Amino acid sequence: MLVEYRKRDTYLHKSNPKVLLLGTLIVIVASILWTHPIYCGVMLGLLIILGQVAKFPWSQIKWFFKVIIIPVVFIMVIQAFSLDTSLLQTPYKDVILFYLLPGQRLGFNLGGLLYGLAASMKIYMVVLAVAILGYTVSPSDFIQMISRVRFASRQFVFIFSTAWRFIPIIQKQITHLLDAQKTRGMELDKGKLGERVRKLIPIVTPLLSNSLETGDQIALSMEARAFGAKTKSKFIKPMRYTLQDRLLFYLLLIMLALMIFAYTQGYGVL
Amino acid sequence: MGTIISLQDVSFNYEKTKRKVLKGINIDINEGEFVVITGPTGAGKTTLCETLNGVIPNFIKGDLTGTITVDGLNASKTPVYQMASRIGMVFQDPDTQLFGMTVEEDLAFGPANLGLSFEEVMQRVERSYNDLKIGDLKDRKPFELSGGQKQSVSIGGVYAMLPKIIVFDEPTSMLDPIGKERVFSIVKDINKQYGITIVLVEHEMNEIVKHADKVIVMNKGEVRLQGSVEEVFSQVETLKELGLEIPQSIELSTKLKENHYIDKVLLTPAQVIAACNGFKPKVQAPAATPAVPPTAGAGNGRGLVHDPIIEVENLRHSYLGDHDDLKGINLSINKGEFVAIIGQNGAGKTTLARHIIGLLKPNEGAIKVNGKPIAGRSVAELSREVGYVFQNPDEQIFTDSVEDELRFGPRNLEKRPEYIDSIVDEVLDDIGLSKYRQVWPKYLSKGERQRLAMGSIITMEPDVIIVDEPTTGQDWRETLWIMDLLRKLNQKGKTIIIITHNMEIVTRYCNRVLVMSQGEVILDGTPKEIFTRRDKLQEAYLRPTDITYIAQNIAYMPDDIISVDEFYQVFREMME
Repeated sequence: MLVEYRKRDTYLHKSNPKVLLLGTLIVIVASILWTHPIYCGVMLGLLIILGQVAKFPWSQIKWFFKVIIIPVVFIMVIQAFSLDTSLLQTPYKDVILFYLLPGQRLGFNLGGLLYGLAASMKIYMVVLAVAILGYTVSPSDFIQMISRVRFASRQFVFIFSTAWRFIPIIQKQITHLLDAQKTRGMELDKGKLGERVRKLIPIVTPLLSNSLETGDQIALSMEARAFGAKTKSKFIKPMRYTLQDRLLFYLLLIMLALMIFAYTQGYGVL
Repeated sequence: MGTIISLQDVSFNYEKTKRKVLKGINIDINEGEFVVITGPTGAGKTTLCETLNGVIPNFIKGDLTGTITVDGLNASKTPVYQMASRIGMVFQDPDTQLFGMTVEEDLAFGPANLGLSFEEVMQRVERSYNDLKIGDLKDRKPFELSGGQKQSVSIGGVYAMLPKIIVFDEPTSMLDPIGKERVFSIVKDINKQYGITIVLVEHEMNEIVKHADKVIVMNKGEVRLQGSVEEVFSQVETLKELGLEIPQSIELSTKLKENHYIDKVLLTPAQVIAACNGFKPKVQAPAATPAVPPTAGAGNGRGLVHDPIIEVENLRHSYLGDHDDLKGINLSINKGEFVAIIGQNGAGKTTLARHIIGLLKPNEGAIKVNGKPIAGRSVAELSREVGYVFQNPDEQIFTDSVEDELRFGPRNLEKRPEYIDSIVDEVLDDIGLSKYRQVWPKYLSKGERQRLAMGSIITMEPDVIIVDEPTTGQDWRETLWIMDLLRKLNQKGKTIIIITHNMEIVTRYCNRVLVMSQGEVILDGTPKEIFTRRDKLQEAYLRPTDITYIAQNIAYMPDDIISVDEFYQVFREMME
């Protein structure tokens, strides 16, 4: 999890998860449709404002943005050198800033660069939207939301929630196993990449067998708490859905429809 | 009150094995009783519990014969979910029993499975909060709770299903003393106040004596003893033969009875204190004698010369940066010492130990091992000098056979093959696993796996061995086995550091005790010195052993008694 849920008294935290999920969906659809850096820039700006409203802990995600900066620059450079710009509508599609090789070969195209810039911004958009969603909606509300969906069986909901809850347990087990290896004289940080990966193999067996044992124990505990009962659960927690949430939800739906329509008319396309 | 659980001639063997794990068990339990089942590891206690709610044979397959009747239902022929509203079950590991994202959801899990309406489920959740006094945990995430809190929530989840019986399978074996106290107090309350029948599997005899109406002692799949606490604990020889711990109050009162000071065996410390306070000593208490267990060195107050092997200077550490988890520790441990670090969970014991092996880096301060600073040295490099045995052996056993496991460390240290062969043979003997040389470690018992984990460190021949909670979840026989092994290593010159919650092994084996509380070492001394400092122990939420507690509450006895033999010797001298 990039950023964990925190209980806060902000507008976003108080909103119905359905509204926030739809908002995130809009960002994802926009990232698929849009190729224009200005549109992507505006959306990114909007997400930053929403992050501020939600008191988003920027410091916790800073490392991730730093890590992906290299692939992002790489994408822009590759697009600038290699994109087939004939498909673009922008007037910059034929602007060559310089050539890498003599004889006017391998030109650095401004249109390609802008396309690459938009692609990079789309990565940030999606990551930020999902991170804000995870930060403002509690996992518990997520699961409640899923359990309301007609086709989601209780088993499916349970698998989802158990997986979510057991991630930290598995992470802790991995850390312990790696620590145990170090205390047995294994230099995990030395050697070439292949060698380092090979050194991790011994932890696979205990990790798997421990996980299987944990799984067995969970199944046993569930069984002892009537999980296999034939009766259908009627336990659905009421969720707050105010008039404001309702209005916002429909507004976002209209926005989504408009965005798709505008795309078909050429808006958002470079 | 009528019989609520009845087992008649019950035998069981797991699928694909012929070995009977239960052999002709006959037990009757009355409604509202508090029954404790005890016995050494492998006695069949857990298997017996799993037959009560039908998990065996419905979920875990095998051949079950005989009749098991629980609240009028045939347990082996009734679906487990149907049994669940009559008989609840709480297991050892709380992490695998919590299913909700919040405590509230977890408590609601069982009742929701029964198909109750939202309102009914919430009523039961509220009842769990109130009756078990866990309302303070309402909005917390289960995985953020302490061990004791988690186990309280899992009991709450079972309680919310309103069963008539709750079976507890070693519910406190993974908890610290505060957690244990919390859980035992809940278990006692739901039995005494709400009339729920309790079946508790437990190793800790001191707790059994305090709570049980009836005790069942099992061994090798059979019931060896059953009856009231008095009846069972009067069979001291049988209990010793089975390798079970005898509570110190019973051990002492048996000695007093054998020597005609009292006329019956007394069960609890309170009873012994009352009886002993009735005597008038003829002479005053002799001057305190140092009862320091034998160690490798010789010299100062603890029997050692000043020859530091570990030096810790102003060690500070903070996990989250908002507060110090270690607050400037200064410490020196001499070669050949046998040190116990005690304190509640979160006191900083493991954090301190992990710094000594280099798994954690200090925010401030320095550590030296054998006179050399450890800063800049890798954990692997340090492992030549300091060995670390983790609390859970399953998190440090990697290989496919016992022998390979013992070879893993010395091979990483690039020791010569002939040397590895000889040390592996030697250690296999020392840890008593020679006959399991080629066995997959998962097939060993928990005690044997703990020994293997220790053996895997011993083959690396470090000067210092740190063992994090070596006896957690072990029966008494295995506890003594492990501690005797550590004593042998200490006598060979190794410096031993254990982290433990078991005060009796501290007084039996260690010559120095460090008491930690809130990131600080608040006491440092011999067991005798430590256990007389009642104020400081209370500050760290610790209690001395029962025998020290008894002595401290008898007006004429010295405060620093730490063993039953010592108590009896002093008592006899004063009375004759």
